[in-house]
Amino acid sequence: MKYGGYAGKLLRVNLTTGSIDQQNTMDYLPDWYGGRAMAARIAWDEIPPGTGAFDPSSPLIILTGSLTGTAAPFSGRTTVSGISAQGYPVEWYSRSSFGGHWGSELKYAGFDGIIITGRAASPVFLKIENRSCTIEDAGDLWGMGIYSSQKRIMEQYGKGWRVFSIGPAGENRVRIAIAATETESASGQGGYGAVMGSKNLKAIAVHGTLSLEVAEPEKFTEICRLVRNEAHGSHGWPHTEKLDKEKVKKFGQRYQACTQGCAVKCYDARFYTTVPAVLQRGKILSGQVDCIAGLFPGLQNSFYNWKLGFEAGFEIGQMANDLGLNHWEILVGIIPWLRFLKKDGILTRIDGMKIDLDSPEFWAFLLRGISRREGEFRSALSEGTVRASKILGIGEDRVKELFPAWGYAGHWDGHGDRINYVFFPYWVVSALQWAVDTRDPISSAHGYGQNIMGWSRICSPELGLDWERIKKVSARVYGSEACADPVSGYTGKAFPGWWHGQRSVMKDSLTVCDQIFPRIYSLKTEDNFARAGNMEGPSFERHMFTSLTGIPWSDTDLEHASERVIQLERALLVRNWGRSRADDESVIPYFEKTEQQTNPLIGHKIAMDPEKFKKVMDEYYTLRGWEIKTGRPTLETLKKFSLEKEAEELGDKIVEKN
Amino acid sequence: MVELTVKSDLCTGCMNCQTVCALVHLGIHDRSASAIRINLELFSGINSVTYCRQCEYPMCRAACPTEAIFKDKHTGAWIINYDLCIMCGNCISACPYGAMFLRGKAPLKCDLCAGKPACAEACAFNAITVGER
Repeated sequence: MKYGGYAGKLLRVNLTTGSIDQQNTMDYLPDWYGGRAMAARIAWDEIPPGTGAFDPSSPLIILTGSLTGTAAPFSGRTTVSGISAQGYPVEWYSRSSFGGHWGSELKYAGFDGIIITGRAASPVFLKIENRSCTIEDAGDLWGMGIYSSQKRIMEQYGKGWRVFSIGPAGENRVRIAIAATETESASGQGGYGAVMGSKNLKAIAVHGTLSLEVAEPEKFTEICRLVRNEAHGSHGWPHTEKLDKEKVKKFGQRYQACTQGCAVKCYDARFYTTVPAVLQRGKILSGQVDCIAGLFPGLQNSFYNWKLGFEAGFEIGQMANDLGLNHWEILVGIIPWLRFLKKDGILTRIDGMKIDLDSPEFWAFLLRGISRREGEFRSALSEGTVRASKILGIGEDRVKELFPAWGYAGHWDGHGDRINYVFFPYWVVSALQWAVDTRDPISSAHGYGQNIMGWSRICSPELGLDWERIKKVSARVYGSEACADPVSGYTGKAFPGWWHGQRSVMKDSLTVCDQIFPRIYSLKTEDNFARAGNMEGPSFERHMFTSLTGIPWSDTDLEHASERVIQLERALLVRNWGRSRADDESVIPYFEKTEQQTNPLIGHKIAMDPEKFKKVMDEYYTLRGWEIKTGRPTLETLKKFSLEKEAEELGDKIVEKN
Repeated sequence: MVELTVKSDLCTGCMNCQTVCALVHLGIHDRSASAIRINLELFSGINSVTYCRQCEYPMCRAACPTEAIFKDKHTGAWIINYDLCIMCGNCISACPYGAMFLRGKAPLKCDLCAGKPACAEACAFNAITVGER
C-alpha cells in the first residue's frame, strides 16, 4: 500500500449473485481520501437516476477513513452512505455514521470498506476475517434484537469479533431503522438499517489481526500525543465532565469510550452497569447512554416533563436500540408530535392504547409496534413521522413545526424540538446547513452553533468564555468577528456555513469524532484559541492525516479535497433528483416560526426574515460557486474542482458561470 | 525503578494504550505487536487489562531455558534478549497473568518504554499510571 493508514482493499459484495470481490483502495486515493469522500465518488459512478433505497441495485456503502483504527485520537468512526430510506420527499443519496470499535476491526481485517449490492434470497450475514469474506446463513438470527444477534455471533466466533447488525425494525424495512454495534453506536439517521433489511442482510461480523502502516511513525506519534492531550470540553460544556455521584452509586455510571480512540470525559457519553429493569422485572441491565438517549427518562420542568424515571427511561432507550429504532426520530420527532396531537385534542389513544408518556408499558407498546409494523397508527409511524402524518391525514401542521426538511426532526437549529439550545443569530448558520443538505446537517456539523453555545457563558457559566473572547477566537477561523458576534444578525453567517461544510466532510472522511473537531476554543491557552505544539486547532486533522498517510497535503489541499466532495454530492443531487434552490428554500417556513430560546443581548425571541436569509443563501452560493438562481454548481466551479466529466454529464442543467 | 499501576475499573475501552504501544515500538498499528491488551466487555461495560506486572520473581524468566529474559537496571523492566531467545514459548505458558504474548513465533512483553510508558501517557482516564517502585 502506497499510503499509510489504509488497509488497502475494499470489499465488493453482491448478495443476489453471491459474488465477493476485492478492489484496491488506491483506485480512489488520494483524491477521495476515505469515508464520505470516497462514498461520493462511488455514488456518482454507481447510482443512476431512478434508484430507490430498497432496489437491490442500490449500493450500501460502508467506509472507514485513513485514521480509523490508528492511534489518532477520536478516530474510530465509520460512515454509511447510499440511498436513504428516511429521505423525504424522495429517497435520495445521503449518509450516516457510527462509532464503537467495528470500523477499526474492519481495517485490522484488511478492508477499508464494503460496498454491498443485491438482495440475498434468504437472510444472511457477512463474516469477514483477515482479507477473506463469506456469506453466512442468518436464518436463526432473523427476528433477533441488535444485542442478541451480536452476542450470538460473538459466542460462536469469539469475544474479539465486532458485529454491525440490524434489529426487527431493519428487517421490516422501517424507514427509521438503525444498524448498530455494541450498545449505543448506531448509524442512526438515514434508515440504513432498513436498507440492510431490504437486502436480507442481518449483520456484518468482522475480526482481524493484520497491521496498518504509518508513513512517519515518530511524527505521527507525537502529533497524536499533542492532539490527545489538548482535547477537552467536547464542544463546550467543560463543567459537565464529572460523573453524577448518585448515579455512580445507584447505577454504576462510568465513562466508556463511545468510539475507539476517545480521550475526553465527554459530556455526551456515559455507561451504566447496574440498572434494575422496570418492565423486565428482576433483570439488571447495562449499556451506554449517549447524547439524545439521555432524554428517555424525561426532564422535569421542561417540555420533556414525562415521569418515566431513570430506570424505566434507560430500559426504554436500550429497548429502542435493540429493536433497531432511531433515538433522534423517537425523542425529537415522534414523541413531541404525539404530545402536540394529544394537546390539540386530535387523539388520546393510538391503536387502542392510551397515550401515557409516564407509562413504560406505553413506550414499549409504541416502539415494539413501530419496529414490527403493528396496528394502523404505529405501522404508519414506521414510515417516519413525516410520512405518517400524510398516511394518517393528521397533524401535518405540527410536523412542519418539528421537521425542518428532508424527513428529519430539528437538530441544533433553535426551533421545533426545544432541546438544542441555540439562539439567533447562530441558528442562521444552522438554517443554511439545513438548506443545502439531504438530512439533518448537524450530525457532523456541530462545530458552529453547538460549539459557540457550549463554550459561551450561557451554557457554561463558570468555565465558559465571554462574548468578546468568542468573537476574537472565531475571527481567527472565520476571518471576521461578525461571524460569531451574538448581535451580528445575518451578517457574516454565510462564511461559517461554507467553512463548516468542508469540515463536516473532513470529519466523516478521515474519520474523526464530530463532537471534538474542529478544535477551535480552548481553556488551555492564554488567548483561548486551541493549539498544540506548533499546530493550530483547525489544522490538527490535517497534521494527523499527512503524517499517517504520507499524502503531502497542506491545510488548503485537504480543505479543497473536502469541498470537492460537496461539489460532487451536489452534482449527484442535481443529476439524479433535479435538486435546486427551490428545494433548499423549503426549509424557510420552519425557521419563520419564532425561535425557542432568547438571546439575552437581544431580549426577545426572533423569527427568520426570509428575505434577509435569502441574501445569506446568495452569499453562500457565491462562496460555493453555485448559480445564485438555481443553487447548482456552475461549469466554472466544477472545472475548478476537476469535475469536467461530471459537468459534461449534467449538460444543460448547469450554466457556465454566475 | 518504574512501576505501572493499572486500574481496570477506570478503563473506558478507548484502546489508546494498545494502539500506542505497537506504534512506539514498531511504528505500525498492530494489535499483535502490543504488549498491553484491553479485553473489552461490550455489554457489561467492565473491561479488563492484560499487562505485565514486572514480577519480583518472574515465572517467565524462570521458565526460560536460555536465560534470555533479563532485568533492565534503570527501569526495573524484564526485557527479552532476542539474540538468546530460542522461541520455545515456555515464557508465554508460564506467565500467570497471560501478559507474555506471541507475535509470529516470537514472545513479546512490556519493556516499560525505557522508563516512560507510552500506554500510561495515552490514558486520559488514569486507568494506567506510572509511579516509582
